[in-house]
Amino acid sequence: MSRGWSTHRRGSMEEMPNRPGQNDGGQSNASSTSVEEIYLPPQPVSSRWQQSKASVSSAASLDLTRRYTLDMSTTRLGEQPGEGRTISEYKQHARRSCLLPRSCAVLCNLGLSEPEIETEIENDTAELVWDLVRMPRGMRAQAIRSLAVSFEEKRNIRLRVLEARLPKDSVKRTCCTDCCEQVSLSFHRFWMDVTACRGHLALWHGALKEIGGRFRTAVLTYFRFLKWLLMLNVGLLLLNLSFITVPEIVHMPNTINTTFKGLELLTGTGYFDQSVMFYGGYSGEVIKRGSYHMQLAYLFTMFAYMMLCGISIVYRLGNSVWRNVIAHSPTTFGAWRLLCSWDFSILNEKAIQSFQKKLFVQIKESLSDCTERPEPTPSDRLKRICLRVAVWLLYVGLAFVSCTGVYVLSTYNLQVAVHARGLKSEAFFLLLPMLVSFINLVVPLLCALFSRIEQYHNLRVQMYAALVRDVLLKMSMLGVLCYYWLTDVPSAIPCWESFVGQDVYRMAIADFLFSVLRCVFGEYLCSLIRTKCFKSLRPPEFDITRNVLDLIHAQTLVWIGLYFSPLLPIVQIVKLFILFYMKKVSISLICWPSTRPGHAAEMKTAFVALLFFPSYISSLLIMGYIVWRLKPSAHCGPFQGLDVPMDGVSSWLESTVISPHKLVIQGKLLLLLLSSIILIILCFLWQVVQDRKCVISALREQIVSEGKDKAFLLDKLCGMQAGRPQVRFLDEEVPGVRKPAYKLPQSTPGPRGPRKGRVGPTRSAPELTRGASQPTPADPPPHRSDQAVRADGRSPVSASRAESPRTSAARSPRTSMAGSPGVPRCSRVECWVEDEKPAPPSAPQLAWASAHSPPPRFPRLEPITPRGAGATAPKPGAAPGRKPRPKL
Amino acid sequence: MGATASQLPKDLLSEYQELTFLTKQEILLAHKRFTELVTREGRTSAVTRVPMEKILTLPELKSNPFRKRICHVFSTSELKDGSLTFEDFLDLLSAFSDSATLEIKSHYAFRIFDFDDDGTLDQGDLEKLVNCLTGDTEDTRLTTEEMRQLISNILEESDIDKDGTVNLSEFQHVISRSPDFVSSFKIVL
Repeated sequence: MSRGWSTHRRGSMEEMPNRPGQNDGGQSNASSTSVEEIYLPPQPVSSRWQQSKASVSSAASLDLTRRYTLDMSTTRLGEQPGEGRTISEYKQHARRSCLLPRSCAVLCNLGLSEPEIETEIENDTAELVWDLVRMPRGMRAQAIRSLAVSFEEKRNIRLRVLEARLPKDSVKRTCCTDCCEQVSLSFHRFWMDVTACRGHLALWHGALKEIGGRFRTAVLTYFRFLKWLLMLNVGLLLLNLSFITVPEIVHMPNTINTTFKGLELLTGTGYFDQSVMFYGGYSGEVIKRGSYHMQLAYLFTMFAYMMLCGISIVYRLGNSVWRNVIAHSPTTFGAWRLLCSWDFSILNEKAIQSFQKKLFVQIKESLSDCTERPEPTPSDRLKRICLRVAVWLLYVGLAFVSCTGVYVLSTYNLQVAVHARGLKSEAFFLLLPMLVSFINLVVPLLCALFSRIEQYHNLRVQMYAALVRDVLLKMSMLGVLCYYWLTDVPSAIPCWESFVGQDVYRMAIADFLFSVLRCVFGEYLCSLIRTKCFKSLRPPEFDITRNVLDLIHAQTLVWIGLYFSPLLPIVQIVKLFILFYMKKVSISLICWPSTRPGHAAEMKTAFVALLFFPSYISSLLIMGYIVWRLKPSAHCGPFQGLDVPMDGVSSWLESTVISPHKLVIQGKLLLLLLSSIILIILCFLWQVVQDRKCVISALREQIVSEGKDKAFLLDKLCGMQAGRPQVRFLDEEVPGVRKPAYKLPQSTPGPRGPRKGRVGPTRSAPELTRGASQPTPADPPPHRSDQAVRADGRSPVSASRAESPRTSAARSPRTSMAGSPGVPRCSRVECWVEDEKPAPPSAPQLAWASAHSPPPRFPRLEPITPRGAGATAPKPGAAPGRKPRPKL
Repeated sequence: MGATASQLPKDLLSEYQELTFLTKQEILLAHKRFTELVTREGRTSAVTRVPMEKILTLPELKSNPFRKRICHVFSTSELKDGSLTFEDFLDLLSAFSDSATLEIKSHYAFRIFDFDDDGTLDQGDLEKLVNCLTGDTEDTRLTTEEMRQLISNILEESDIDKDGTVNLSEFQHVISRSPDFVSSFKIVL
């Protein structure tokens, strides 16, 4: 393509001198809108120009290797971009060049004639096709798919690619290649089918898709979280089953004497008492035939379970933090994040309105963050602080009361358990879990009421305050319960592990029942009442935060109870499974999807973080405490007769070859070595990160300063243009240096309309600038400080519109094609200034470069001897070397 | 679905599959939905074009504040009336599908937000964008001062080369930093 381009370019340049010079005297031709004319006022043929022509063309072809070309051709079709990029570039910036206005006006603005444009397009397409042909099959399909063009074009390109491949194949087409082709094709199809099937087989694939399509992304976050928890539990249940439960059942099937009454499903006592559901159902004996050590299996499975949980949480958390927190810095992209947060998947009209309102509020908030808020008066501030303190105190009081209530009830519970065992006492045990669930249900509602009194300016702060309170309440109650389970119960009950396991089981069941009740009564009835009785009210909002916190609470219970009841994940799995469908119905038919914008990713991270920090870490600590410190019950469970469960492991170690002392010493050495290696790697990575930060900031500065350079140069150019010297840019490749491509104002009719060499009287007053009305070549070149003057009166925006080198590779076609009618794609800029008048002796001074010793990084301007008058007659199709760009 | 499947020849279907990010089921569903929009007389012509008004009756687009822009961006009509052929429609769904790349999504988002089709997001575009997002009703309209402040914030954040407009690469740079974008730029039939 480069070849095509350069020849084409050269050809048109040669045309140039023959153009009629109707603009000779600098008079504007009102009817013509060619951009070319602005920058190429009619000039006599210059020998200098003739000389430099060759280098221009070569520079042009060099330029082409940078693939800035097809912007122009795309202009016409409006969608023919991407051609002519290298493969890698292509993959990265697939089709970014097709942002073209499909307007006839654009066509008019082109300096090229129809056939020339056709040739360009053809060349570009050929190049693209050739790039594609060279790609491997899979990548090719993906690349064609990722072209941002219309379907028809993709189809054409694909056909051409296929055609291009055929002749090559036909040369060496043999039976073998044929066969290979067939096999690979059928394999490809088979693979497509398999992936499609896999998609269908995945749990809730369709349901999740439907939810994602109909509701907000944040809602989808909840369901994804639920699904992830379910998967985690299923995987880990399998672990427990295969290493603890199945060997136990195989070894000694439990003989259960009691009959199943039904209440056991709720209480977990009686029938389940001695089953494998709870700790008491396991025995510590070694299974003789495989020498299976149940104590070790029990402990190691628990460790493995917790470790796997931890790893998957940390992995997810790391991913989430990386993508949502580190990779974007909220401080720098606040406004944009809001603008990009429009959720195209909201369908409900009312939801859209509500979303718009909230977005409006958030935009206002982000604005008020930037502007100084009026300082509140001391009395106001005092009032607000008092209010908040009061609400927090109220909340702490509530939490304290509920914790005390729970503790009192639990000690009473314990007395009942010690003294009486029967159906009545079993039913009584249900009271404690009910109370806990009830508190969990009601107190957050009260808190939500209180938080209305507090006047938080920021929705986020309000949200996080509610979150923190809710988490604190749940965790403090769990803390009280754990205290009760780990200190009070072991001394009072003989087989205390089973008792605790049953308690946790009851908690999990009650939690589930309450969420069902809340769904039915809280959401369904409430929405019924609201919509039927008060038509103006909306149904209750689907509160994602609360729902996720409930999930986290349930999962914490499972982790705490895991040691006492290895099959507790079954309850959790059933619960999550039913909950999914319940919540789906709730969100589809009853509730109002939450419409708070722009928080999905952030909330996702926060949820996983919460699951990790208070929930997982505390359960891990509790489990460690049980295993290392607590005396197991003497008459039931796998650890009968041991001081602490961990003794099982140490006695096993002693019986094996490795002595524990050796292991500890070696372990310490190993630990030291490992941690020092990790530290070194961390230090290294940290340094790399710091360096990259420096590089990034330096590059940013460079972009900005180069942009300024360009703006300044453009100003100079326009100033001189106005004075009717002609400026030429010579493209020149400087290896290793990427200079910016330049963008000059286009010939827009209107404020910055076509000026086409207009000078003096034809220009409007604001356009008159120093040196513009009086084109004196001897005019001292404007100094750099003139930059702000905007010599030609253009708006600063358009005047400074310059492409950054960094973005130029990826810039929009529109931008690049707008870039520089007279100054096409200059990689390295050298300017020649031509003037109609014979160059005065002081001509070199015209070039500010020589006269004023400009900043070294600025390009040099050199005078050019005048060119023939006929050379610059405006004519479409002229000078491909300076391809006119459609206007912005 | 059997009836609609018979209307789409197998090779065409596989071509659609290869050239878009959609799965077979999605293409068939799209075809079904599209044929429902086509009037009887339109069905006879070689290339069926559904006018924008018809397209906008789809519940997926009906209330979207960007619905007209979406139609215009994906339309290949010479008249620029926003009418869509089935293939344009597939293009639309493909760009808004789950499996479309960030690249494609941000590209089309840029074109949708570029209200005057000039290839950069300038002040006018941004103003319209904000108005679309906030609904442009009396109570949700920003004052001129706020709008100016907001736009200058936006440009401050994203206009890396300080030329006063946001071009595609700058836009994509911003988009790559907003994690919610890919999941929210989505339309599922």
